[in-house]
Amino acid sequence: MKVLKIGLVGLAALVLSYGAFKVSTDTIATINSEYVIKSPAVAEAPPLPEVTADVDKIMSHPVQGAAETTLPVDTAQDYVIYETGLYVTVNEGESWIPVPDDRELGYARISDYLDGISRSNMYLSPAKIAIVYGGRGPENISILRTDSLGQGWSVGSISRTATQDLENGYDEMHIDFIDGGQTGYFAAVRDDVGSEAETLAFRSVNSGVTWDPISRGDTLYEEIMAHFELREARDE
Amino acid sequence: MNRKRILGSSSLAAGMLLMIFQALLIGIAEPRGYWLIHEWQFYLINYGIIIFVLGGVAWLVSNAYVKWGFALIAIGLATANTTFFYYMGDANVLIAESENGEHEVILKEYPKMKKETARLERRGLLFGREVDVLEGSSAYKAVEDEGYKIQWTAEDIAALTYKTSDYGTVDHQIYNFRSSDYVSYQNVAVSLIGKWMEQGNPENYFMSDNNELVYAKDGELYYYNIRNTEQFGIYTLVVRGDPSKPAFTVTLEPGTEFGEDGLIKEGGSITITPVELGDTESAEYYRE
Repeated sequence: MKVLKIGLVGLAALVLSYGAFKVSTDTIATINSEYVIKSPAVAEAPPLPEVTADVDKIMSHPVQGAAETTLPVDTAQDYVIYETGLYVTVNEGESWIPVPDDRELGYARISDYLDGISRSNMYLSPAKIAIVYGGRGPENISILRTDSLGQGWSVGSISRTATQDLENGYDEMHIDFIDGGQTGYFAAVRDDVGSEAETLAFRSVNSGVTWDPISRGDTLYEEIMAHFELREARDE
Repeated sequence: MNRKRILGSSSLAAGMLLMIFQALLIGIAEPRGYWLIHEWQFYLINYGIIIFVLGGVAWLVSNAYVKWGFALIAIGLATANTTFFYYMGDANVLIAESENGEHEVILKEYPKMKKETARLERRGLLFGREVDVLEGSSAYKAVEDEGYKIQWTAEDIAALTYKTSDYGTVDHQIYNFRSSDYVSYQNVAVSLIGKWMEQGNPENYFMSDNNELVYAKDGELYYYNIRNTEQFGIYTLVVRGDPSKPAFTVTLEPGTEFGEDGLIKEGGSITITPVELGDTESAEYYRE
């Protein structure tokens, strides 16, 4: 009789436990199904328009110049890097014109490119001075020019000439003006692009205020290459 | 009063006290957003109630049928409590303290439930108040999957990065403990206009013109649209990435001063922290 009682109680415990388990799991399932999500995962937002990766937004802007000065240097060159700045002369070193840094956000600064500056980056005459530099990382090529012997400068940048390469920019740059300074030629050479060198060519018909890209195959492209003796040098 | 009666009464009283505690917890605290930080404590109290009440009945009642009846009820309740404990009480609680121990981020995730992962603010030793939930945490349990990382980008600002799916998508949250009256609210994106160089490594820089953001990091160059940023609180900006570019947070330093133009004054610095689940290091940047 005692065994029967124990068996009955055990059975009742089992049934009760199963019932409790079933009711509990059903309740949990209901809680889950009725749960109102407060912060659901949002679908990926549609992509935004691509950024232009181009900081050129205005044609040109002014840069404050500084007075001509004398330098304790002895050189036959008409440019010199003295201390941390670039200086140019148009009177055989009698006085030197400091080339200012363009402090505009996103534009190249000459002081960051002094390592790669050579004579071909400059056009120097008493009537006009122009210096080209830039092109590394996100910075377009800048053309810094003055018609007042450095009292006031104007800098323009050429759109879509940033190499996007933080280490290597352009290897050579060449600038020149013909037709009494009215027409400008500019070429930028980059050796480290694929299997062959990339040379960009530009022409200005307004004394260097704006520059138009000249595409390969255009006769003017060949003319600019020939003007700077670039094609011949590369073919050799 | 004999010893059995004293024990029985005490046991019942203890059970009643625990029941009152649970009733207050469920009826008053929970509707107001307060809950025990560690979920197991709730179920442990339930076991305590069952044991104390059953013990009290065993000591006080002499009728065997009543005792067995209570024992069966206790078995049923214990089964139910265990089932709830298994599904709802199995909570992953993540407590991340700041280095100086002044602040903490508490996250509570229910891996077996649809209930979302909640961020709690501690209230006393045992309680926490739910302040928000993680986006997408109803479907994907990042803590359970160890797909999360908490970084203190400043002593009082924590950045949480967490997976939101099995496919590697991540989201981030910034928790700010820096006191502010919000009167001095600043638009962080605007305040960053300019070029910022990494201290001791100027080849890494961050530049903003309040339209495009340029981030140069370890020889790579990335561009972002200002619309891909989100300000958290008044000190932190998250710049969202995509598969081709990294996401990162920009945190203003404590005591940052702003000029009338809204820009950070000269001498101010920011901290940039990459947002990813792997090991990353924050870096301090100074205005050029």
